[in-house]
Amino acid sequence: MIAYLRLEVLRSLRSGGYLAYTIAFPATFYLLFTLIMQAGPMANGTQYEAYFMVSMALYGTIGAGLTSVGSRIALERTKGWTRQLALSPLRPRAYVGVKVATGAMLSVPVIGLIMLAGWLVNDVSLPWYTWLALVPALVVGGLPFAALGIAIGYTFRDEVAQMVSLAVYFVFSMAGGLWMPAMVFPDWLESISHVLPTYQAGELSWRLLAGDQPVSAGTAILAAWTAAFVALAVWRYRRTA
Amino acid sequence: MTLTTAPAIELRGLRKSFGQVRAVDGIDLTVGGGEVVALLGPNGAGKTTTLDMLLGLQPPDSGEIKVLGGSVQDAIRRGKIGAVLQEGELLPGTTVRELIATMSALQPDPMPLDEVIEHAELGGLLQRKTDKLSGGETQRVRFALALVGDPELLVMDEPTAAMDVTARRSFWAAIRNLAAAGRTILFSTHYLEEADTIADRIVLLAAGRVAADGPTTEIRAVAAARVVRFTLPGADRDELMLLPGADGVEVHGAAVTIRSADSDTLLRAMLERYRDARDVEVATAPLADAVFALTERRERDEVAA
Repeated sequence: MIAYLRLEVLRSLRSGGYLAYTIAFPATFYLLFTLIMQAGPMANGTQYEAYFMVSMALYGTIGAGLTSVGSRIALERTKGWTRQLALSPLRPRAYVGVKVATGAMLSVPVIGLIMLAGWLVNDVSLPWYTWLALVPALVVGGLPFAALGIAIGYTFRDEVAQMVSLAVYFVFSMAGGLWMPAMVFPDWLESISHVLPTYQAGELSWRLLAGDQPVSAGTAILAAWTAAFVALAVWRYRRTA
Repeated sequence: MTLTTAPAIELRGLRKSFGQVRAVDGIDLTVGGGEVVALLGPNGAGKTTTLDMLLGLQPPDSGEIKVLGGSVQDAIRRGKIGAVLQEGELLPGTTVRELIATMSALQPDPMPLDEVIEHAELGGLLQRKTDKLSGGETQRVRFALALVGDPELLVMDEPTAAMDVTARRSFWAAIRNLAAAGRTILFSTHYLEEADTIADRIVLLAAGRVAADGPTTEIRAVAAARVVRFTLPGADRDELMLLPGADGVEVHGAAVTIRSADSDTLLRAMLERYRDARDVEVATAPLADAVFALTERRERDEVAA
């Protein structure tokens, strides 16, 4: 299984899609948005450059989850590779586990790169333990989307799955305040934003920046979304795998 | 590889329908350890559906499946069964070597990689990307994937369909080597010649049922039917049916077509009796015709009995 995981990570690192969608896009957006728009500090005193660094790192992490889990599963089902796998000792459950682990591992380079840009280019200064705590907080924030990816991968076929993933990805990211802070939204949109998993996943890390502990009352909303996505994934998986 | 003593394959009353179509309509089949069996039949006879159910890729509507004395899932987990599927792309973005090595690492008791590579003749392909292979090359990689677990039973669905003549020859040579070590082999084909040269036993499928099952020599006799065509002014169908060896007769004006499993006898008698027959032509009947003739003759025998 470790061998299969290694092959999956290697395959993704070689693919242009991963490099473009998961790494280049969020990193470029981060630099573009922070260098062009010279925003002042946020209401709670957090540096805007640090806030947006976390937003884009989470955006990349979610992308890794949705594309390397969802679209890949859909593609491999459509092209018949999963039939071949069904004839190997790798159980479908382990296959899904490998996909989720791949997504989580692939998000680490994105997080690292954007943090590096924050530190080197934008002079983001944080205590060392906050830097360290951000990595798991972001990876954990991305996991519900890996579950959603599984549900999409076992529901739609190749190109449709890709379109659905992208649509879900953009809508959730935008409305969840990853592209611009939810506090600048009109009130109605801001209240919607607060119940979205993207916003609450971001909160885990945004709170760390403000020096708070990551878990808050809003984390329950994230947990509820996660439970729903997992249930959806299990149902779709049982129906199709 | 340690051999199991139970039959390699046991299928009982296997059925599967897709909507109104009965793809598999009650198949019983037992394959003993070490047998090399060809599943022969025209397209649509139910070969692929039968193999898919055997491999656990599709659930049967009803019936029982036992592989090496247990469930197919158990055989797969222990690497005791290997299969070459007809369709399906390989995992893209990897080299042939990486893919084979990874799939081998999943096996509890793998065949040494060198052996896999040798059997499947992958020597020259190891560094190639899996998405840049020809149909025949892809098929060799699939064959290698079927071997990584060092299986006792090898199931193959039309394994040579994408291969050219040379590739076919070396593929079957590899199969003979694998069979010589005591492995059981079940493969489907719609070429009688392939079944004939490789298998010890042929199971003939038609319309989702076993139409005939026996040693290769026996089945070849019935499956290798010929059609004899000639021109005969004033031909009479009923009279022609009385010719020895005539299994089926069609008459359109002066054009006569006779299906026969013994064309030599038929021709001798026909030329003797009908001096004015001309433009005689003998051809191998398509497999579909042969199967049809066989089932038709059996029905006639049943009516007569």
